[in-house]
Amino acid sequence: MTNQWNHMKKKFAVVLTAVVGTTVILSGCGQAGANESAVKYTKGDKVVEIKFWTSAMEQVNKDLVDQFNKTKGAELNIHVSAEYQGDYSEIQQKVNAAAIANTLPNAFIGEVSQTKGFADSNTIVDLEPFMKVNDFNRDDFKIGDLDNLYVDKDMYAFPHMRSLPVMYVNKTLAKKVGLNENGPATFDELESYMETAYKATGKTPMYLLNNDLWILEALLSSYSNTNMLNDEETATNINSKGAVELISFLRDGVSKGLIKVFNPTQLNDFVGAVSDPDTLLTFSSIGGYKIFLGLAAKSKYELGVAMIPEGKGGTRGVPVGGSNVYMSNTGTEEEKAATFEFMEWLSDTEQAAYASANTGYLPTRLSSLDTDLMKKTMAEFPGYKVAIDELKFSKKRPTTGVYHEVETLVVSRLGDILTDNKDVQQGLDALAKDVNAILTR
Amino acid sequence: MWLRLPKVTIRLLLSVLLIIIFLAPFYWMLLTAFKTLDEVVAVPPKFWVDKLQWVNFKDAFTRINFLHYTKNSIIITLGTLVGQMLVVVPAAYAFARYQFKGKSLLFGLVLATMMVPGQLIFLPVFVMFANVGLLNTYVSLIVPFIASGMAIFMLRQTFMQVPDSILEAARLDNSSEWKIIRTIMLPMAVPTLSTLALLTFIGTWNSYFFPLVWTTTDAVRTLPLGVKKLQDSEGLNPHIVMAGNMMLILPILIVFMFARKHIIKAFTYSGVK
Repeated sequence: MTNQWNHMKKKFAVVLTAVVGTTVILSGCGQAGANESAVKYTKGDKVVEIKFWTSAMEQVNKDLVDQFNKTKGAELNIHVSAEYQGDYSEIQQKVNAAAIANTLPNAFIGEVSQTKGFADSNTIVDLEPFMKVNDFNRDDFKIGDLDNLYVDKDMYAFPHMRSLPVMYVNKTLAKKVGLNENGPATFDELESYMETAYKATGKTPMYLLNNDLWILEALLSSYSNTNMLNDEETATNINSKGAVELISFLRDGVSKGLIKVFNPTQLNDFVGAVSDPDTLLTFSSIGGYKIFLGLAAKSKYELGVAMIPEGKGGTRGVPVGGSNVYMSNTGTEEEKAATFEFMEWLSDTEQAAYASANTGYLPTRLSSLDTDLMKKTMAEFPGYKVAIDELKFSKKRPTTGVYHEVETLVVSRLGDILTDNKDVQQGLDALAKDVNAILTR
Repeated sequence: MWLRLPKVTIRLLLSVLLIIIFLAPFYWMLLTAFKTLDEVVAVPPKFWVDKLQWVNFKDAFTRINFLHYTKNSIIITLGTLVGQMLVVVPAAYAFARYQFKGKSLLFGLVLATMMVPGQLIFLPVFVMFANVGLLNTYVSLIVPFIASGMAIFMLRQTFMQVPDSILEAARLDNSSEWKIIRTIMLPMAVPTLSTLALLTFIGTWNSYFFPLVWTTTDAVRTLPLGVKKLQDSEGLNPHIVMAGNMMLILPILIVFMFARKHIIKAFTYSGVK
């Protein structure tokens, strides 16, 4: 009996130690960067090697890194090696694995909504001390909502490429069927707009690609001023009155043949559909502007860009998307200082303009808009101007670290809800229950 | 006779239907690889091509470092194949022919490895390789796949079908265990070995997840990752991506053509027993 009791005590002690240890580690994680210190970079004799993991728009990022190595890098004895790691989801997986294995790069590109998750797990560092020792002026970053750079009041990321959901309009078809070529301004107009084209062509006028919750976030915000999650990010609003109204509106469009939603595996079909000269509208990222222009040119129609329509009472809201650059919690003080030099250069006016002009993404600095390159680009591609105007209505995306799981779940279920005949409220209630289980896990 | 004819016809029609179902995605991939972008996005879709666009293959070849990725795929696939045979054959022989303490437990553990999804172990293995400095090496993409539970199980079953009398006769002739494996077991297991080799070849050649998560540089990345890169960099140019995919699966088709007879034989042989 005594032996048993001693054994239980030992077991309890082991469990208690594990719990206390885990709590200490986790509480440490929660205070990421709180005591971060930084030094200003000083050029030494040796070249400081910086590893930089990139995601999305590989070639442009590679070009920028090459430019850095030839200019400021050569001047400061800093050399950056860029390695492409896949899409946003893939780089997130790799960064998480590398954080555990202590093989993090010095800096990396990630999707804007990943900031808090990385900060909470102590994977990235607080940039405030680095900005302080370098007298870095952040005011120029004010182009769209910047909340996704911050955790509490500290900046943890520099903006890299910015995108917004916009509405692409087939201006040639709109003119042909007697519609305003600038697209519908409100959701009420949107329905009649689509009906007019449908009557004229007999074909589905609008196509959506159900692979990105980001677009739905924009529609929710604009249609009914609804956010995907509550302010505390502990529950979803996907089954709220506003969300039910929007999904019912979309489903009504689907049932009338005005809207067709493609699932994520039907990318080619989506490309084919939006290339059709009889397709009137689609919602997508401004980041794909040049690709859509290319498709429109091949199909010989003029493509316009319009803001996402406004809801009742003039509600508007579009989530800021795109990427940030993060400094990893790794390396020596000198490497961190050198990494900051690189990040500062990468986010600077000319580089932000270069990234924007060569992709379709928006620049991240106000001063970039005054560069010759951006002036020329905006004159040539007027859609940029529309997206920049839309930035006034931009808002941050949810920041919880589990949002990627939420996205995957909602996208996979929404396709069915939009196309089946079941009650919308019931379908969204069931979805909300599963989303909330992820959020409160 | 008139009653049998419809049955034959129905069977034929069902077979044709099944062939169409299985071949349709492949045909569509092949077709897209030879189309222009205009033809790819044409509405209604075109089920043929006016002119074969060989240039898509040239584009796919030049837009990524195709030779580099192909070289890595060949090294990793061959390394895994050879390594697997070196490990699996003695292991299967031991489980089939030896009696030793803990045999059932060990064989149970081998079988249990088949139940564990790769996604569950990728992180600990990643950390282990990082700790010993083997990330971004061929070793990290070959070694974890050498000891295949499935291969040990299949080969053990084949080895067990060899009559004891043959082995006893060989031992009476003072044949070593190695000689027995080499001259008796392996020749009798050629169909199973061919099947295993083909399955390993396809699995390793097509593997996307592990080369993705266990590499952080392009040094040892394989062709599927190269083709994915093509997709990322090409944006909406599916005809070039499909040309890349065609080049990716070509070696599998060639190997399948050669190994087809052995595979059928392997399953027939097991069935008879």
